Amino acid sequence: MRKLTAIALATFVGTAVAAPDWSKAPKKNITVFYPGVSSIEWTFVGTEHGGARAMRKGETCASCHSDEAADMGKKMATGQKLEPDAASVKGKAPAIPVTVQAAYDAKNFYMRFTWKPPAAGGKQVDKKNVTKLGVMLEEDGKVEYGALGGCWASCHHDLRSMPDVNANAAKHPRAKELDIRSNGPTKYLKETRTALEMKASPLGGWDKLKPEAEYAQMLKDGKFLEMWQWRSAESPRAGYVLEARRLKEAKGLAEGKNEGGTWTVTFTRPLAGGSGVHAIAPGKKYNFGFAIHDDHADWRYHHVSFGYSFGLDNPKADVNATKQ
Amino acid sequence: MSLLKTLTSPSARWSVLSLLLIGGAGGIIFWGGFNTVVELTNTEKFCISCHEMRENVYAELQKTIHYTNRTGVRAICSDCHVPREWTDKMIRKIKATGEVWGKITGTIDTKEKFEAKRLELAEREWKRMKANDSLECRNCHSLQSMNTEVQKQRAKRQHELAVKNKETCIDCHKGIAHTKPKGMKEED
Repeated sequence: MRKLTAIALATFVGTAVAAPDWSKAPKKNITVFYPGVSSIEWTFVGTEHGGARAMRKGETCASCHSDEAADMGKKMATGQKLEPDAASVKGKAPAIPVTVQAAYDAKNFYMRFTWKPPAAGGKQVDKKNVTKLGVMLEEDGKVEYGALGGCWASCHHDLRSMPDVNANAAKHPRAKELDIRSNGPTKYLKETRTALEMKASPLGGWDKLKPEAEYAQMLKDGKFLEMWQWRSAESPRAGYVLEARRLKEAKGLAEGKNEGGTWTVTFTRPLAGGSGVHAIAPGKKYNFGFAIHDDHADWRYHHVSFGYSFGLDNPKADVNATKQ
Repeated sequence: MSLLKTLTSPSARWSVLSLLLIGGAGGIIFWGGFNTVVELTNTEKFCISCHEMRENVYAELQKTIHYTNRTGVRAICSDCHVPREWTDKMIRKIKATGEVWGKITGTIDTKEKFEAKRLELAEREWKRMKANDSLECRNCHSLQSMNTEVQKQRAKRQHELAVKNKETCIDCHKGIAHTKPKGMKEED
């Protein structure tokens, strides 16, 4: 399984192709905002989050909040709400407006993100990269909270730098394979756990693993979040999130440049899928979310988008990838 | 026995007109007095004359939009907790006699006791409001008269969903005027 994944990821390597004419691609403005510690578990606690009822009925985060992302970010970035460590976000930008475009041709799928970095602020952790941009996507209906909340499908209260992280998580016998770092687990999907605590602290279920055979089947069935990450000073990474985040170096997946104070990051990947890689085909809807780690930020100290959709030549999708 | 006999015997001293006038006047005084007392128990002054209400739920209300807002409209305790219709109001008042017993026996006379009982009290009130389709809320608000176009995206979407799912105000607006109790059930 792991070998297949490595082969699939290797397909990103060396995909140097002619860039699309971005002036022809429709633009979608999406605001990423500082989310504090609003994990997926938190969003379902009715006493904390008034929208929990609507979410349980399938309402997406974006349908209620997309217009107020910047206002929400202000509450968290100033420590008024959902930020237990206000000192760590001092001066942090509440939100960043981003322009998102997508396109495709006979072979590849392209996605471009453009934004102006806001004023510096907040906890600097990543000494190498001044900024990073991560994208997670699923084929509609494959991941339980994929359509509902985009990246929130993988965000839990017991991940590293989150409030309910287990201090001994790094001692887990499979810690390395599960991408559990010295300060805790990275990401996982709800359906990969036997149970997820949604009411009382500690929230989450990082160690409630299922038998490995189930994960192999989920991977085969496309029930994972594909993940891409562009890094300003290192090679891009690609992989997927299932019971853990699995990222590997993927040269050629992304290119980024800062011209005149504006970052432009373009991802290029084959339309074809593979193990841990979704095939991107016409007539289908895909859900995605993305996050920017601004000003050397890492872990939870990022700016995140709500979940949005994209499709090939699909004007109904939030981001319509047109053929070039 | 002689009192019963006197009360049930025809009057030999008073004319029918006099009896009607005295009876009518007495009835007006009794009815007026009764309603005055009932309305007295609906005043904010009466409600917060008990420290249990003044120091807990009333203090919480003062921080909310139902107490102070840009338009200067204020909801007092009875606006939300006592129905306006006479029959419903009387039923509520009769039930409220249980609260008098609570006052006498001191079931919530300290902060700790109040917090320990907050969930039970809140659930009782939510159940009552759910049963009457949030009647007290609808004395001032209604989904039909809302202009969702001028509401924030979040409120607009939630109210559209409430209409679609035939929900009532209290389904979502728990804790709108008071602190939410700890240990709320998932369905609340």
